[in-house]
Amino acid sequence: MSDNTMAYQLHDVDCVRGATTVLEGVSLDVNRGEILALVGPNGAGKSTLLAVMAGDIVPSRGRVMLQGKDIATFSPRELARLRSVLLQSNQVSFSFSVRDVVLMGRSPWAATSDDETDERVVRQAMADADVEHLANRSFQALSGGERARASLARVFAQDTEVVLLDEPTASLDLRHQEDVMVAARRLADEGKAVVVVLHDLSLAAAWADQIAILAGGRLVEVGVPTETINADLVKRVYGIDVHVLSDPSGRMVIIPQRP
Amino acid sequence: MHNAPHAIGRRRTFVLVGLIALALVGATMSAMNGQLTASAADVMGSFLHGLGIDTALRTEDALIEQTLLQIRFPRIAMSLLVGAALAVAGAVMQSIFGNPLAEPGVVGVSSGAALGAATALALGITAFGGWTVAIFAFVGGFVSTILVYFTARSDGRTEVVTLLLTGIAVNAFAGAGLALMMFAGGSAEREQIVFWQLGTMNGSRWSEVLIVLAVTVPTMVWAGILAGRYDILALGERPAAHLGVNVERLRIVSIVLVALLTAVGVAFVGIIAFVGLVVPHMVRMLFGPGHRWLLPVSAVGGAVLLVWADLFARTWVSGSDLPIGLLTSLIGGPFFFYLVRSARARAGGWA
Repeated sequence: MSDNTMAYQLHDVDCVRGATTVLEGVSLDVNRGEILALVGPNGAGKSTLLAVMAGDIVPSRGRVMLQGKDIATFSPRELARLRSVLLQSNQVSFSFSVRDVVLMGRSPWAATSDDETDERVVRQAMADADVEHLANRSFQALSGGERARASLARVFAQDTEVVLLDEPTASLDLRHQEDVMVAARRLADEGKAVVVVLHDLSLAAAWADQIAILAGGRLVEVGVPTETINADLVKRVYGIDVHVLSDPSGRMVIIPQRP
Repeated sequence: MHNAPHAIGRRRTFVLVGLIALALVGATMSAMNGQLTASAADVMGSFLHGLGIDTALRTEDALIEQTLLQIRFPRIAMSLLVGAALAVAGAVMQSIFGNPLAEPGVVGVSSGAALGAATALALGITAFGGWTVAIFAFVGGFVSTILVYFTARSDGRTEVVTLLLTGIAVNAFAGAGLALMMFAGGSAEREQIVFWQLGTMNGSRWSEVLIVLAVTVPTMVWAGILAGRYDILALGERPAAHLGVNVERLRIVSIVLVALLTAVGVAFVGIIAFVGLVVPHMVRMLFGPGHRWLLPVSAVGGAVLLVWADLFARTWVSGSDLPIGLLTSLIGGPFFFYLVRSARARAGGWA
């Protein structure tokens, strides 16, 4: 596998569920070493697209290539060593501790990893997600935001080349939202590909290398955030008037026009 | 608590050794007590004689030796095996249902198996010789597990209410089926079916013990091999799949395991409910939820529970043999109430 292989190449992906077409003609490339933000209104098909990229849903039409190979050709174990996934809601049956849950992230590597490596990776993952102090707490006893961070630590511990995150910031406070994006940035800087579903356009614009805007199951626009996002586009996709401003560091800020 | 892994390891070993000791003491006491009283030395001597080792301990009373070898020992072996099998079946079921209230008796797998067994008996089917009843029980248990599994679950979890309602439906249907078989069969079959419904170790024979042994031991070992996967399944089906677990295969295999473990016990000793509920719950409180400990310790705990329950059933009222299923339900019923209450106190109703 050469170094310039794309993390993902999606060709003309359709996804039909029941009578509704959830995705239509989606073609998208994801580079290694980059954060791709997936944005769009509710019901645009973001989570479905992420599920297709995770290999959970087989598209009705089109091809999904992961690291240059058709995703359908991987075994569950091979896939688990290539991509990790954070879902929107995270529950755990029975009172496993946060540490237990994060350690489960190491399970795909059980045959090739040793206890020492696992220990080190788990400690780093818990530090990155700021859940070290929760290590011995039962996952079930955590708040929504803490659960999201503990699950994120589990995803980090899986240590894969491709990381898919479905709204990792949704239930987090301001500081932890930034922490998650800092951690995502570091993964990308290590050469990994990070795909992250976000609702906060300013957050997406500030951290993503590429932004993909999805509406009604179709890809509306893909590109560098500063060149892609503008008030017209937001109006067209979200149906709301916004101001596109610059913060003091020169990053893009998108806020609704309020009377 | 992770700061002192040695202390935890010691405590776990201590509890496990204690449980094994409790099983041995229970088995010995059960062998000693009954209409004929045997001494511990008689029990030891006959046990060794049964293994082909004759020692000075061997009793001179042939009646006692016969009683021990032909009646009490197989009965004790049956209690130990069925207890272990039911507890492991409960733990596996709870894992794949993602719900600590899932249990073969509660959701109707046991009555499904009993219906299968009763069908074979009442209709006089003997196609598979000594295995016929066990095979029919397995089919009944398998069908009811599948039924409950696919109606009660969504997204890898089962809400308590849905689980219990499905259990009521399956139990009601199987109950009606059993009643029908009682009408279809003669008076001997009728009596046997009633015994199945109540559960009893009475009349366990070595030939039956061997069938139960041949089925439950490999099945429990198989479940033990899957322990790591059951842990990961606690994250939910999709996250487990993302971690490389073949969820589809795991649940089909697990349904077969649960049906085998439950049905083979039901076929020979009848419905013994709540063992799979009480034992894994206790073990989780002492050992945590990890299946590498939960499954083997539950097996030992289930064996302990049934060997003592059977001793109690045989000796509580002198001269009569209480149905053991009645006893476990007397303890398990209130315990189940308590679990439902505490599950209800948590949001969503699952733990």
